Amino acid sequence: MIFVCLKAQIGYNLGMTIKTWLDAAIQDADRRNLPGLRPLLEALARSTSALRSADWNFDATGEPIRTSTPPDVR
Amino acid sequence: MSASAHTIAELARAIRAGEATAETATQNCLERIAERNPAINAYITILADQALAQAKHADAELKSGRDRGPLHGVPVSLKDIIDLRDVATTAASKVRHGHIAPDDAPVVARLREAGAVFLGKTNLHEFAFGTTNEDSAFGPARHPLDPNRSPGGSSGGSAASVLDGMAFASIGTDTGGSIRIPSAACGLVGLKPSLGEVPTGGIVPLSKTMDHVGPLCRSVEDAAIIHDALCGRAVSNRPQRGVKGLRIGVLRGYFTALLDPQVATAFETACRVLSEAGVELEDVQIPHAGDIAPIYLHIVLSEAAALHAKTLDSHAEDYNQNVRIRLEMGRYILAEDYVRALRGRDVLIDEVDAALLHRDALLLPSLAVPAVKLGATAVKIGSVEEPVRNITLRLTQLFNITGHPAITIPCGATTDGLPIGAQLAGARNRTGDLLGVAAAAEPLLRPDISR
Repeated sequence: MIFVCLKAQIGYNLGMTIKTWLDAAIQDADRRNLPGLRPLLEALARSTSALRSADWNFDATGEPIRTSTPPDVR
Repeated sequence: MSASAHTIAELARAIRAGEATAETATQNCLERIAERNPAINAYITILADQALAQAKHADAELKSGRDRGPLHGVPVSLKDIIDLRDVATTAASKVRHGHIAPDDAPVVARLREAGAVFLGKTNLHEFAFGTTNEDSAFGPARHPLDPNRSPGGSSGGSAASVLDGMAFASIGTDTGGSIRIPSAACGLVGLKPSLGEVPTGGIVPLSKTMDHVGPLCRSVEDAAIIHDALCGRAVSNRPQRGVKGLRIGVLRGYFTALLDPQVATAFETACRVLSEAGVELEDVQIPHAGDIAPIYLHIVLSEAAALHAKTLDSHAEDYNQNVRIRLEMGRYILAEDYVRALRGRDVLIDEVDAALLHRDALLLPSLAVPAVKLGATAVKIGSVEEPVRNITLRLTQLFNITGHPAITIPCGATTDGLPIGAQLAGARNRTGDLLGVAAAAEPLLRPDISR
């Protein structure tokens, strides 16, 4: 339900970037009267960003994902 | 015999030598519970009458010649997330109000068949979703060595029950370190077996792909005894071996970058002692260790949220607020990110397998800091301030992601007397081999053990 909600709020014309996801998630948490979620969602966004930038991710173009920080010290 | 001073193996020998009985051992534990539980809050449910009846039955069986093995007549506690027939499984949550287990969990049935005596159900972090045991509907369990500190979690009541002589061992669960974290914080041995080796039916799940069941106890020998019972088999006859010639990979980098100075010193001492005894130690890397936390977080939050979605909507107010909010966080993770995390799991499995190639085990600290103070939200190490949850999970969660067996063994204490643990991890589906390595290393790591 929340997922559908997020999709609807973000709209399909916008890319699902971390920022658009986080903005929509915070908006939804506020709507659900869960203000305590905001800092956790912000931390989750940082974690998701790290996950998406990992160099082992698949990329349909075949291009390797580049990271600026060596993974062992992140 | 007192559970605070004796192992299961010692009790088993004493019972067979006529120097102890299951009844007296159980009575001693119950007296200790009556004395200490009001302060430590290790137990949620105490089963005094049932335990004594079980113990008397165990003694009668032994007297008649039926010997079920080393757990026969041994008093143990169960984390209150594991079903024990006709007893409430609270998971330390009001959400479970009114629940009575209709049957034994398979692991309980196996322990019952092995003759174990069930003293009661122990406190935990609500739904096992936390590492301090503070967020429990029954109040926090406290560390027996310092009641202002957490015994660790989520199996905190289990660890406190064993350390304080209120049980000879306890059965806990481990989804990110919930056996090994409290075991390390309380100076116990804690075993997370290989993924899938011990059935998790009849146990309130947290993350179906990372939940494990295992013992918290006083020695590696005891861990092996209980692990055999949990696997539903007779006691394995493991040949004893020395450490000379063992090849162990030492995990550094991420795994030693953020340690309390006293933990770091104890760990380096453990490495030196093992090396001097003839263990071949080599530094090894997990190249993507820096991705462990994001991978773990996206898997555990997604799976926990799916398990709790219905009650988050219907019983939101019955959750502890901290636990509820973290479960709600999981409902916002996108499917594509969960799948990314599963891909990351495959990468980490390959990297741990590679690190173990031609080696008997991997060695790393168990817990980056000593037992944390109740109420603390962050811990400072040097100039770095880390949330308690992150720092406590940091060294254990890798093996929940990958499924490799891992065990913590005490390896010293801080100047304040707080325990420190060293962790060994072994090849997947080879928990028995890991126990063999741990048994060989234990006397060197623990000055209190001499064999």
